[in-house]
Amino acid sequence: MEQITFSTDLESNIRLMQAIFQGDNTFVTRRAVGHKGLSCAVFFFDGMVNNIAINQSVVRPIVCADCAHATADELARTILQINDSRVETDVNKLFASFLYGDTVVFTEGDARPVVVNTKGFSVRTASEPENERVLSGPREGFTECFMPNLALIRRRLNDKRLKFTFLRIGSRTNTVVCLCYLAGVCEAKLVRYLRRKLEALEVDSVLDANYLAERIRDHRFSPFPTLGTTERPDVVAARLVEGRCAVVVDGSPVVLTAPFLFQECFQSNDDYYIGFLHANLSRLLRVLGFVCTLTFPAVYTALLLYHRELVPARLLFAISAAQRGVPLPIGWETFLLLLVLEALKEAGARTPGAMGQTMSIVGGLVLGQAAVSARFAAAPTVIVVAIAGVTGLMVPKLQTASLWLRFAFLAAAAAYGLYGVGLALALTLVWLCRMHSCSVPYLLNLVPRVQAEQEDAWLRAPWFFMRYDRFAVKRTVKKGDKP
Amino acid sequence: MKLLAKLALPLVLLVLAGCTREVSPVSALALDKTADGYRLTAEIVRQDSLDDAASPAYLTVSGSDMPDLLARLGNLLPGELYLSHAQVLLLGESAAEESILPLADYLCTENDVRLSLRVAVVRGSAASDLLRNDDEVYALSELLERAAREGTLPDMPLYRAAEVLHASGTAILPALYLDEYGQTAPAGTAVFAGSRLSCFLDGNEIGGGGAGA
Amino acid sequence: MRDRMFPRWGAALAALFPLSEILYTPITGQTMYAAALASLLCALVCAGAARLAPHWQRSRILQWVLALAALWPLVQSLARMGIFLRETVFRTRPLWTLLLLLAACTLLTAATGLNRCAMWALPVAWLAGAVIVLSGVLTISQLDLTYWQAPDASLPGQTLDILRALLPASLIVSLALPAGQAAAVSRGLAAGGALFALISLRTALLLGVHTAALLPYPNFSAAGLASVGDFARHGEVFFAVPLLLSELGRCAALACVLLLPVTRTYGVPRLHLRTLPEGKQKKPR
Repeated sequence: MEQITFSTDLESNIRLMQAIFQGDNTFVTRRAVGHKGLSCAVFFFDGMVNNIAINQSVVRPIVCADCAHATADELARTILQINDSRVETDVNKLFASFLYGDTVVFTEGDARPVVVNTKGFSVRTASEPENERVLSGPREGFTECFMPNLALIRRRLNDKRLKFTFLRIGSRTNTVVCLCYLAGVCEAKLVRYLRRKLEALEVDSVLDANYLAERIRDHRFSPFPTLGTTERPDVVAARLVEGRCAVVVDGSPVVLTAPFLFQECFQSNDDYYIGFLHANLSRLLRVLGFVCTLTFPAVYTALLLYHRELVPARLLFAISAAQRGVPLPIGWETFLLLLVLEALKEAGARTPGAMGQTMSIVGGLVLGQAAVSARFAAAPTVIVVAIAGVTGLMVPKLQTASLWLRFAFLAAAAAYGLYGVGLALALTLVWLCRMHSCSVPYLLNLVPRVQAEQEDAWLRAPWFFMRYDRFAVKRTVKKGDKP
Repeated sequence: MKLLAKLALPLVLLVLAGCTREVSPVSALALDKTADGYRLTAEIVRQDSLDDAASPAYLTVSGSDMPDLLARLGNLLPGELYLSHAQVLLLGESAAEESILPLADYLCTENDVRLSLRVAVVRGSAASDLLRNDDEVYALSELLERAAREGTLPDMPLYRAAEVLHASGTAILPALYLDEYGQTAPAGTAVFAGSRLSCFLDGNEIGGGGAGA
Repeated sequence: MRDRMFPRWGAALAALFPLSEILYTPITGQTMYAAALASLLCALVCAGAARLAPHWQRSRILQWVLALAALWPLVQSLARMGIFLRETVFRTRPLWTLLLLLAACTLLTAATGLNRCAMWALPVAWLAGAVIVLSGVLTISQLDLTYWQAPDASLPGQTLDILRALLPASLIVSLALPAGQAAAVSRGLAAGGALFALISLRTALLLGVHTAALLPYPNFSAAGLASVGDFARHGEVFFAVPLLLSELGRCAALACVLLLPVTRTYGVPRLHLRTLPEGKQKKPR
């Protein structure tokens, strides 16, 4: 931004502001003159401000002021009747606030503007996030509005150690980003690390949390997530209590949390709000679902290509009969059906509302049946791909990983049978062993076990057995731990 | 490096091209001795569509020994000869009177043949006749398995038969026959001494209903 | 926590060595005793070696000696895995393609370093152990106790055979381990050896020594007799996959030893919070 200097002459300040925002019809300039001669200029953006606050707390006090002259300090302290007003000397901060809905007031004879908090744009109400629904438990979700999002977090964590540190990122969007953590619970090194990573970003625009997530996460090319994302304030509060950091981005209902471990992929919000017996069964099913979605098409292909002796005799005869007349080799057939499944999912997700559901049903049932009848595909392959598709939905956080690894495993199976699948699984495990999120091993608690943190790793212990907070990334190994 | 990455996907996709050859699964085999060697009859399973039931088809070849017979059988079949699902090997009386140890050794070492293959001796008729007698796939193996479970016939899969033949040359194998109604029935046990069929014991002697032949 | 190899990982890595012998060991009536004895001896020797390891690693020359010594068991392992795969499943594939695949997997695993290999070994060892126990349990009703044999004069010979296959690799890796792993190594080798002995006993009692002698991979073939109803009959491949992964772990560990003098690290990246270099700091706008 070019250097802007205000003068003590009110008229020249008005001309300067009008020149800066020339062509912007939402820019409003209001001259306010007091009955004793106090002369001020009020600037704001129509639609971004609370008009009542401006009328009652800014314009009216100026008009009714009992003085002919006031400095910016006097204006902010004694005349304006509003809870948040300050004299701003930093031009960058001034414009950042002004563009975000604050009102700027200049007074005759003082070059320093007063910034008044009059933000008043319309916001979405905090409804339950569509993709993080729970059977029971809190139903509030974040919105696109920054401050109410922070309020939702603070409302759940009434702790004086809760810190919100603001940063501005994006040379064009100048987006406010907030780093949240519980001082003393979260490792100071982790906060420093994230802060430096955020500060080092040189980007034009940040329109959503993902703009940052892809830039600051570890293992950027890995399909396994290394940063947590959630739209639920209760989840963020829980993660802060566990010693993690959260990054709230203005304009995005998605909040990032770090570090993020592999075990979290299988955790669901419901796990903590319903009974532990049910929750643990569901969690085990999710693990099984993930294994199924990765390996089912691959194992099916491997069995039919290399290990037919493993298939029960009558089932093998039935599958062989179904395969008769299908033009493609089994590997290609499975591959193409998996692609069709992904295409249907994509079409269903992009099609609005009820039409999307219709699309899925038409795709799933009608196309599947027609493909089998027309001998484009064998019925057992359709079933296998459908099972892989359904089980893939059980662990939404690993959908990218399932998508890519499913194809990789299929290729391994087509080339080397079950041995190929075994090797592919082993290499995936090697990959996971190698990964870390903010320097915390990605498989922490699953392979490098720490006694205190076992209570919510593979299974969730009942609340009455939990001796520690569910997870604390800052905790180091102690003698009692059994690695 | 980038070129390698670009080449990787087509290369990975190429491996999917491994195609399934149509298989001709064999569910049972029957071996008879003929004047100039052996005759092998294979029960091949056919199922044309998902709605049909699996039905047997029979193919017969002649040859000098088991590897030769299997090679000839493979040449006859439209698909790949597939022995992994074979569950029964029937031996005709004349075939069993020769030493069955080389046959047992060969079958044990043959990768496709399962160690759990059940071997039985057919009494009073050719093994191929008994094999062709049943229209249902795996009826014979189910009969042998049930009889072994109930103790009416000896439980002697291939791996156990090979072990006892090697250890002492003496073995007892289940015997089957075609009864007066033309049905397959247990016929006691076939006793092997020196790896050759020595005699049959009546089924009643080991607690089962026998042929009484 | 972040820079160390946990004893449990070390034990798992050591357990892979006896487990990877299971597929290839011929079965006689003495194999069970021989496997137990050889694993026990190996555990004692390797525990001593692991105690000596920190002193050994001080000398650069000794490190190079160790690295070169690792080459032979590594090649041997890769070769026998390749031959096993070709003889059991991929009969039409050229051996070199299988060896290439296995070597690539070994290198990818070894590239993570010895610590990560040991970390990786933990789930693999558990999986292999579970599959071995399951296979044993599923065939328990078919075992014939009359096949059991008491130890006889051929025991020392067979023990030596197993030791020849087991000891070099485990000794080399034990000498390359970080300090404090002696007990873990002996525990791991003993546990792996116990499984090795048990599964050898299973095979001897299931197939009998004569049938077992006919088979190139008797433990593998015996596993094919385990089934759950009509499912997974002939499921020896389910048995073989974790054991091959165990051997892959052994190869990776040996490859790590081979690379150790060059990399001078156990492969674990420094996991302290990495700070950005000053030049990357955001400039004030």
